[in-house]
Amino acid sequence: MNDALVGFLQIFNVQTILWIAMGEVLGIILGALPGLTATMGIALMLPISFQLSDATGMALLLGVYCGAVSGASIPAILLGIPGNPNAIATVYDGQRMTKRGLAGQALGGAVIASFIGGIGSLLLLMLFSPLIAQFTLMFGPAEKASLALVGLTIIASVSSRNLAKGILTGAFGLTISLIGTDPFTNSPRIPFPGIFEKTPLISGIHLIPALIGLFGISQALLDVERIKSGNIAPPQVKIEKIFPSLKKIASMWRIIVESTGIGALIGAIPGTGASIAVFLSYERAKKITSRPGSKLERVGSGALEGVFAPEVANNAVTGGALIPALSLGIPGDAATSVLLGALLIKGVVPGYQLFSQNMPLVYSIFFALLISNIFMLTFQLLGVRMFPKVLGIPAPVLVPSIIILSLIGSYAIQGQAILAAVFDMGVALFLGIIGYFLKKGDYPIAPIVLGLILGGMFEENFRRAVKLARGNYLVFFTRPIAVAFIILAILSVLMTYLRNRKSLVQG
Amino acid sequence: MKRILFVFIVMLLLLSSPLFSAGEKEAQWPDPEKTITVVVPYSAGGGTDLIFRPLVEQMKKFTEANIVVSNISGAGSSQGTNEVLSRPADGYTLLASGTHTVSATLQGLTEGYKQLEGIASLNWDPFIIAVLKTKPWKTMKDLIEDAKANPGKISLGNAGMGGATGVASVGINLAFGEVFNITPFKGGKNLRAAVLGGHADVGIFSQSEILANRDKLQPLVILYSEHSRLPELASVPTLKEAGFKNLDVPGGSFRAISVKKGTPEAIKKKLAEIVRKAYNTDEYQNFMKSKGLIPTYYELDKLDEYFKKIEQAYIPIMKKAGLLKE
Amino acid sequence: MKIKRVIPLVFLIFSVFYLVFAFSMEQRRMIGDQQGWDPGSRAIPLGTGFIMLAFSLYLTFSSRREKNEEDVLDRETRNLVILSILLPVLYITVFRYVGFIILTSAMLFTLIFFYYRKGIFLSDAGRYLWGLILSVLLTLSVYTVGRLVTRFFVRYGKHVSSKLLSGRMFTSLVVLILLAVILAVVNMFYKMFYKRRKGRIGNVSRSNTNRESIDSTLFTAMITATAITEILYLVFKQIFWVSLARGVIFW
Repeated sequence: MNDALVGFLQIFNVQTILWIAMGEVLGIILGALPGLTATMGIALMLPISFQLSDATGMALLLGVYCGAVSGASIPAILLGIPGNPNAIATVYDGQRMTKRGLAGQALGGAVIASFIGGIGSLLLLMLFSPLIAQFTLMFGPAEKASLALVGLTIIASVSSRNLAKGILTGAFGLTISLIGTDPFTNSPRIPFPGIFEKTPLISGIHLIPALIGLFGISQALLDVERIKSGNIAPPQVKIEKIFPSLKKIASMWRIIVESTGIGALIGAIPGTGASIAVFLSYERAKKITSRPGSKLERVGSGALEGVFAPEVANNAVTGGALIPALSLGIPGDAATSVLLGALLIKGVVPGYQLFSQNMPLVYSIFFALLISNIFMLTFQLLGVRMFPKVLGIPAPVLVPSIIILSLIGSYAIQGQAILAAVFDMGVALFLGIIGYFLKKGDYPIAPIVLGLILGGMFEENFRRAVKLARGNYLVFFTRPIAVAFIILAILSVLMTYLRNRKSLVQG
Repeated sequence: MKRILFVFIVMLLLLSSPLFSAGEKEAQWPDPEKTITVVVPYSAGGGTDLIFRPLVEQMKKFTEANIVVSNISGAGSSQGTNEVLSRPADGYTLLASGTHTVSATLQGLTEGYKQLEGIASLNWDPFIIAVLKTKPWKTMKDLIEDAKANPGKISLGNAGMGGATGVASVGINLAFGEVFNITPFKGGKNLRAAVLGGHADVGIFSQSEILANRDKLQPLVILYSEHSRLPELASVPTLKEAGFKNLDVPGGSFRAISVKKGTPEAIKKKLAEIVRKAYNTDEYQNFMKSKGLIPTYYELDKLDEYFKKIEQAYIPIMKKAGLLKE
Repeated sequence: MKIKRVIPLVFLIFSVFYLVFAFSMEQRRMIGDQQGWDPGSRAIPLGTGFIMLAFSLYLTFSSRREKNEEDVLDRETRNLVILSILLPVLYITVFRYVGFIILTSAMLFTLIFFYYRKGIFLSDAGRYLWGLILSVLLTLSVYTVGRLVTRFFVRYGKHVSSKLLSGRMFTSLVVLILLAVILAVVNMFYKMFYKRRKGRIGNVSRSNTNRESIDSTLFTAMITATAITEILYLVFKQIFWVSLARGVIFW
């Protein structure tokens, strides 16, 4: 209980609360602007969180995360354009409600749904992450290596319709993580070591500039392509009658419960994310409401039910995705991979160690998530007429700001060493350009990031496991947990392969 | 139009004119607007980091400049060391140096202490060899007998080859005829988890690590000439008492603060003064006592001599282990 | 060349080079590993290299069969994308030498200006150069005012030993307010100047409206570039003590 108090105090101080509030507002704005994703928002805030204490830094990022996920519903409802993939299913009924003149209720409902989903998944996170973390004490090098393998293969198979593309970019991420020196012998692993040994290349590619480049700069470059098509006009809709009645909300209990479950579960599966969860929950809600005898409005006709289901689900993903991130060190979706990166950079080791030795930090993450959700609710409801105005921010101002913030943010991580810092800017830009072209070619970015995060974990534990087993490579098949992980990895690849083939034959 | 623009530019120039007079002469060290960075070559929250952070907190009291800790980990401790060497010798970048620096230098990973000059040293943190309580070995003798009977079967984990635990583990392995399977882990945290989880048999730990896991770990021997100053660990025997009279394994980590060679003498003296004041505060002294750290204070030239002594103790081991790069 | 076909090809070439590189790497085992139980420093790079080779080969061939229509960018947009890539490259290359303030202001102005123009046109060159100079000068003056004020408060705060006055939050806040005031004043001047000019010209021809829109673009770009540069400076340098390269600015 003492830990909880320490965690509580780390969050409930003026400074931290202010940072969360700032992150929340920033998140809502970033989320509402089409073309800017939640992941990008978090990546852009990484350099700032890096300068703050562990708890405060995480709290800031969580604020951005929650804000960005819920902010996306604003343009989805008012304009029929989702702010980011979190709101792609909110568009259908949200837009129809606006056309029916119920814009206010759609916006208010979406916010309340987000809040319910966020709190629900927070409870699940608090319940399950310590339980799963307990398991990790049993994980030796062999298990850890197989776990990293699972993370890599699942994300490679889920993140793209083309399995080969996912594996290819995942392997590419691994090669990036291998740059620098060998962790065990310190022998250089860079091209032309004679020449580059004294350059920052020898310390390898740092995670934060890579994340900023892959998520920030690449997206900004894509946004440049849309500049010519002009700006979105801020919507001219009357927003009134924000609160749906309590009776109405209570009548949707089934949708709420199921969507929370779907969101948290999908979020917890590495590599999947909100975009899958929202569609699944939307489909479920459709089924529930179209049952004979159901008193609910039919989803699809511009009903609040159709807004509630995806909005509960996408915020439930936030808590769900943190479960494997905190307990296993495997992020549940792209946004949490950045959050995980923020933890790793601070020297926090997820899993049993985090839950046994750094419980105050865990509690402070829980509290920060709670506050973020409360702020999200209050800010969105108070600013329900104000936030739609940010849609008027002109892209010609926005895009350069993102580019420069990405560059300076990458610089700031090693801001005391100018040469290394300039190198980091180069890393961000280089990976940003690569990410831009890959996105244009329909290649997934997430496996690169996972390769970067899990590459070191995989290599070190693989070699350590073999060394501990006295050179026996079959050690991975002698330990039950490791075998289970390997089967999981093979299954994830096989299932995707079979599914793809089936769809090919049918199509 | 052009004329108006011209007027506008002149106005701006006038506005920015004070800047040409504002370029004042370089202020005395330390410039209160500048930042002194203490580079800790290990990740935040690690053993080395925990010893320097409280000192930096105290140092803040004695200087006007901002002091920040910057954790630059990787490649043993050589990445952080190289980072310090790549920056100007102006007294604004300090290195958390010590046994790890000596070890990294001897391995040829960095120019290391050849390019560094000592400011002040802090303390020794002696290592303790420990196993999980559920393992069959209760004394060092048990362990060594078993290891000699089954060479290569018992794994001895360290917290990374580049650092002091790495050298100690190699030293022990050599002293007992290379009977252990030496396996490096990434930092003390991971080594602890591996030994507690039963994945590595034997580990080399600092005193505070043993203290934090006293109910699970069985300390076998302390690698120092004296007993631990912590009452809880005072009963742990030294190598000599454990029955190995003629063995001398340098075990423990020594921590100091260094700067790049060529830093002006006046600045070094001022720095030493700041560190000395911080070191002598009650807060830091109590901190050392609570962690069982053995105060070892040397300053400037004396410290450089002391480093030489450590080097002399390390060279034979490193040579035997094939680590030495000449 | 279609991008979907080029990417696997690039990956193919990369993986070949990577394999060559991996093979040329020294195979070292863990220190103290006399028995050779460690898979060695080359094991994983080789493994990843082969995986990349295999899948990029597969994708190179399978992408030939794929029929995909791609949206081709029009010339102006393509130019803008190229500008958005090349300018940051230039920014990073000269960052250490020119310094944060000047470069950031210049880059922001350039990007904002051309984005607003929706393309790079030669006819904008004159206006652009004017704007660039003005924007850098404006940023410099704001920066200078900010430095002077900050120094004053740091000194004065130390003098009266007030932690608040010499603190980074307080000084940043003061500079931020000053920034807003300066930009508001500049905005006022601009508005006054335009009203006068409009009154003088009377009949507004087409070319004049076009010019007017360039001028307002230029002005917006200038103000935004200055504001963002100074805010970034305050956040990263003044609050978080990141040593942003000074470059040619010595004060």
